[in-house]
Amino acid sequence: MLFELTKYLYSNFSDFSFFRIFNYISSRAIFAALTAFFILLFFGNRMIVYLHRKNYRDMVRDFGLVTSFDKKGTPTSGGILILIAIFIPTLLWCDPTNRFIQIVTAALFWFGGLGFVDDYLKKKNESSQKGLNWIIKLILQMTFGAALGFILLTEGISPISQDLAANLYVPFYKHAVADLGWLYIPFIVFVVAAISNSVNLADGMDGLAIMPVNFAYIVYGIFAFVIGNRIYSEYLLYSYIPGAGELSIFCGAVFGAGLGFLWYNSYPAQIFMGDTGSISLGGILATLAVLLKQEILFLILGGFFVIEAATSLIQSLGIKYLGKRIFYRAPIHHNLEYKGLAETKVVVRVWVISGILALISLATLKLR
Amino acid sequence: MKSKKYIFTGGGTGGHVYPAIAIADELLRLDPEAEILYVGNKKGAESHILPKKGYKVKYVASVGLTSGILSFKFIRFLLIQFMGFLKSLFIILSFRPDAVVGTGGYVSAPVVIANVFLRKLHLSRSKIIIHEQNVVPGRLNDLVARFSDLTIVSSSQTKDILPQGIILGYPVRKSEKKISKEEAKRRLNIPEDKKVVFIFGGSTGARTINRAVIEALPLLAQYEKIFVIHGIGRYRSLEYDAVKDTDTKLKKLNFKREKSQFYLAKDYFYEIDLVYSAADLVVSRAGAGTIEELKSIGLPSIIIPKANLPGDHQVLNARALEQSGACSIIFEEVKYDAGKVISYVDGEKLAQKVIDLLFDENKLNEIKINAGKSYNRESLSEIKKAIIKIVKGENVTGGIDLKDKMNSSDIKNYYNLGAYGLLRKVNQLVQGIKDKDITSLPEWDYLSYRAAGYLVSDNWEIRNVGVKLLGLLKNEKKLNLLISILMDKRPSSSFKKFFGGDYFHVGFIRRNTVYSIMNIGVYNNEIRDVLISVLRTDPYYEVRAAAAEALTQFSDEIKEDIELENVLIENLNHSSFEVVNEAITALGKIAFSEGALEHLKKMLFSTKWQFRDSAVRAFIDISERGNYKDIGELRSFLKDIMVVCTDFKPEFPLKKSILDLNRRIEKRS
Repeated sequence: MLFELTKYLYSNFSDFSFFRIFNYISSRAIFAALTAFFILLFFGNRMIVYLHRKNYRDMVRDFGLVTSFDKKGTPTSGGILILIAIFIPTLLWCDPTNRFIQIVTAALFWFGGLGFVDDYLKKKNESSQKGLNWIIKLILQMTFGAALGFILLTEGISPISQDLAANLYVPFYKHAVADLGWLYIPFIVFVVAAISNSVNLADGMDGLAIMPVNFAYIVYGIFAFVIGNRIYSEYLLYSYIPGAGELSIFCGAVFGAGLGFLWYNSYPAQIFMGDTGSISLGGILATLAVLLKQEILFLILGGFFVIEAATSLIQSLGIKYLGKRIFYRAPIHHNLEYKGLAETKVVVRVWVISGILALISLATLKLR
Repeated sequence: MKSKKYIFTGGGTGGHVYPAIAIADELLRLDPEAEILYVGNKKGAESHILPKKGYKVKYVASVGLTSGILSFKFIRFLLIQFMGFLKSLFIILSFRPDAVVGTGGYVSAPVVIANVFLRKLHLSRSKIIIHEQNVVPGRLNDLVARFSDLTIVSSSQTKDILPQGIILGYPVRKSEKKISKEEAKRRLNIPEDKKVVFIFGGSTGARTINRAVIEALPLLAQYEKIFVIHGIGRYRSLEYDAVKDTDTKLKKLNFKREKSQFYLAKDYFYEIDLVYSAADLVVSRAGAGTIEELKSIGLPSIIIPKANLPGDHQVLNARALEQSGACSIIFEEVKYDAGKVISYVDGEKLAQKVIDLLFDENKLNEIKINAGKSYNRESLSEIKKAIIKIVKGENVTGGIDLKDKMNSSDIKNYYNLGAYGLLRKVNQLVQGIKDKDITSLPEWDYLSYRAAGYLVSDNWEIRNVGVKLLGLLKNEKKLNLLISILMDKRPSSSFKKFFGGDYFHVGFIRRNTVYSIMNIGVYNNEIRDVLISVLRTDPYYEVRAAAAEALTQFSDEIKEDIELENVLIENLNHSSFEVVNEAITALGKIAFSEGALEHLKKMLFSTKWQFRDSAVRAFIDISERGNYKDIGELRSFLKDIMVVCTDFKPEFPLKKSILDLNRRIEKRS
């Protein structure tokens, strides 16, 4: 909205010509990040008290069972605030007519709603085991993937030109490796479900998920900036996708919100993001990966999430069919903790690793 | 009144066929003009029972559902059921019955469903009547009962599962004429002064019972007065042929007397009434039909229920009979034999029980009277009346009081539980109970029997439940079984091996077996040996770690044992830190030699903090035991131990205060 307003002002009144900086995507991305960050900072404490009052927390029913070491009783569902803090700057700083922005906003509401229902049911049933049935959850995630694929492959409503839409790119290689055609839809369905759930799995320690998510959003933001810019994309040999640049503003908003959340979520946490946060941040990340045609890059950029999901899956298959544990514990962050690393140490090491992975991912911009 | 037409359907085993015949006979007695058509399956017991009784039979295709929903077998099941359904449509349309009476078994499903379908199309006006014999209805009967005009159940317990059911009991066919004991014995060539025990495992026979008979026979043969009739059954499969197996085993036995003087065996007795008439005591399975027949004749019995059937209905049947004082129960047990865990019946126990009962005239008489008392004579005629009412278009309400309510609520709580349910239940039960009281839990025997029964399963998760249950129940008698599981080195399938599988009894089972041994808390030489073997050879780290943990637990009973020490020292180099940690801890409890202490000292300087930590704790234990002479030397070591540690325990001060307050509040109130 501010974007529209300033555009009107600087194009009609010469006194407001300094508003021209809002024409630049880079400056709007920074403003979006700052807006999101301050929203979280300002409302964070109130939200913590509010969620506590509304009983969105790991329930303590029997004080005899609680120790002064564990985290029971911490408010959860902090993802609501993250989503609000992403949505407001998107509304303020993005071009609302941009199809990319419309799609990621839809993802925000879809996955946010899904995660919130899950959290709500857990609260209602007073058990972290009794959320939304996992099959229903998976089906709803896949439904979004299918819809996304359908939109991308339909001329007229797709924001990407049809000769590009179903192409598959891999890192370190210039050209598309394949045109998947209609098979692109099942591929997207898988990508969306996998990424969304892997972030959900990784949300198991204070600050563990949010920083790798932040790194991923920065990198995808930079990719969006490059791909949506005629000159840079030509220079780096990417197919220019007009309008994709707006996504980097959105990514900026997520990054700001993520930092703001870390303010409260850092060890020892005052608030957890809950499924509302992890499923939606994962779902939106998947949507971005698809829109920017960088699905395979996630294997590197989201390497931590991939390992989390893979260890979990392998462990449960091992338990079910071999009757033994293949890792000491799964997912990987529990394995590290079990082997004698303190939670804080695990978290910071994961941040370091994700930072390195983000750098490698950025290198793929030029190294192709 | 126009004569009515009935279709009877049901089969697979005699248990579903005989009630149908009983009802059909009764309807024919009332109205000899009534037309009856039996629809069965060619492979079921009905195909050889019915033609003998003079009923018209038609066959339709049908199979039972033996698998889950996601499999090829399920598709086959659907296809065959559909074929059966089509043929049933044809049969019903051409016969035009007034009622379809289903007595369960998979064959009744397509027939009943075909009739439901035709009624929707107004092509059939036939009523649907279902009779359920078992306490816990089969899956298909459960399904078709939804469409029935009348659902008759045979037990008060079933009403909880089929609320629309009317309790009318089990129809037992009326025998044509009574045969006197003398005549029966004469016709079977049994000397008149003998006491006759009839042992059989149902129409398909039972391996465990057949083998028990052979074990019991030499003991029974010592008594001149006892005569054994043995119904072997016609079971035949690749691994077990009932008749052949029994014959070869019999030939190995030597008797002083001629065998025919005290033993008569046949694969199947068509004139079972004759055998019943001759018998003074029956040993059998607890099928609903068998039990009702025994009650109707008033025969004393020893019942051996078949283990872990759906809802454990055989045990339920047997318990109900036992509670009315009309039988005695022997549970099947589980043992380790030739590399496999198998279920068996203790032949000696069986022989002893038979001998005790046969020679206790008073007791035998008492049981006989109780058996007769618990039989409900009205069932058959009530069922007949109900069917006629339904066919006339009237409603049937009420039902009769079978007086079979279980009076112990404890038992009733367990039967309907599956393996996991039972595990949860027992877990709750043993909470807060003192160790020695666990063995006196209500129905402890039954629970142990269920637990042991699970060890025979092909599914490792079920075996796992069995292992856990035995530990929870602290069943010392089954320690040998647990030991044999740990010694069982049968490999897993090569497919699983490729992905890292090891033995048939998977890692979790072996680990939980060790935990169960710890739970039972008995330490002896056999357990020492098996723990050593685990620590030497087991490929799965959790099992080794558990074994080391067990040594820690049993340390009070372990005297200076150099082999145990050595085997723990070997494990200090294991690749899994869990094993090393537990080995260090165990050494702290049982190490005594200089060599072992040297090894432990090395662990104080390990690169891993957990090992250093465990080693320090081990030295605390050692110094407490007073085994370490040179404490001064230890002091010089202490300052050299690297204190770097990557873990710490956080503490939240506010939570601590809240907990403190909470404790005080609870102390007050």
